[in-house]
Amino acid sequence: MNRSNVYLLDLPNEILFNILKKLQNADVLYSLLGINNDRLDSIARNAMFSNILNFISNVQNTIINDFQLNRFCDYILPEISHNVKYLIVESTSIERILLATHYPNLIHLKIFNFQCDYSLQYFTDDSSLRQIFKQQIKKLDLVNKDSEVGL
Amino acid sequence: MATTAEASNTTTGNTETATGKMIKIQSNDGQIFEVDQGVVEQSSTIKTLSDLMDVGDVPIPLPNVKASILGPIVDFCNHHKNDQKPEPIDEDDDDDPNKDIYEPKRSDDICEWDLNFIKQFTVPEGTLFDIIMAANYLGIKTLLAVGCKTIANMVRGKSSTEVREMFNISYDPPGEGINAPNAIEGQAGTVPTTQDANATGPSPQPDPMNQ
Repeated sequence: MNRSNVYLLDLPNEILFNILKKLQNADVLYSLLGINNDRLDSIARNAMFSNILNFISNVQNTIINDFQLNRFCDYILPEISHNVKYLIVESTSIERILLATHYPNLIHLKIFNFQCDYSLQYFTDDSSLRQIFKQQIKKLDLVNKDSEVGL
Repeated sequence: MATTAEASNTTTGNTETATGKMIKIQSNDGQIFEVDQGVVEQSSTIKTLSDLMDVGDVPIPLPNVKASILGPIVDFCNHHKNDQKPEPIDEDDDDDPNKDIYEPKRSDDICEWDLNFIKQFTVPEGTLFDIIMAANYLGIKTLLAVGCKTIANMVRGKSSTEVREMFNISYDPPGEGINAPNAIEGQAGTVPTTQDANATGPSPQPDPMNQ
């Protein structure tokens, strides 16, 4: 096969979007935000990649690791929080993610591995997440091992 | 796959076979490939050109594709010409309202034959991008999907530093250098897309998704 002087950024935006739409939005943000390339950074900041953020892998049924979670909470989420409308999170990381920054347009929340005896604390009047649940969230989905409940 | 090295020496016209009419297509470096209707149907570009040109003796020119890429593409289409069109996928949790049946939001479902096929094209040689752009130009959605999924699989899980190294992406941060507010007028948007001084890639293009 002959060598070609063609690189990733020689692809038109239409194809770059085609590639990135095959990734979960969280993967796009993790890999491209902060890449220090104006064009890719601009693409990653497109609202389509941050309206819905799923921190649970649909394919491998895994959650992000601590290193990745730190990167999201310390840098990525504050950069794109204004776009976020729907968050899908694991119950053990919900507080860290929701308190990482302000989400002015967040209205839908889905919590995986919800356990009544542990997770109910987030819905009490003393909870640090009280304001978000009372004033912002219009749709709440709770998923435990056996069933899914929508509120 | 039938090929002829010298287009100028071609004296026979397009031929009929038991499987239907054969059509000749020509790469930008002069190589001619003979393909049947099953291949033509997979490329919206070739199909449109063959309908418009009413081809007889003249091969359909494909000025954007060289022979080293067109040949494998013909192999791909020959392999897939009896495939059924994929069923639309209904995903309740799909967060992309603009999906179509060729582009579900996942990249782990490339079949074994396609995986082996795409391995001949690599990032360091630039040929992986060649095949993607050729598939886009020729309107072969299945091949375009395979190429894009391959890139997506390479990106998944990688930090931005790793992605920059893997794809040799130039250091070109927003708001600095050529992108600074006080950058010299007329030079904005012309920064090379790679660190390779010999690279001949085009300038960054306007974003059609945000116009």
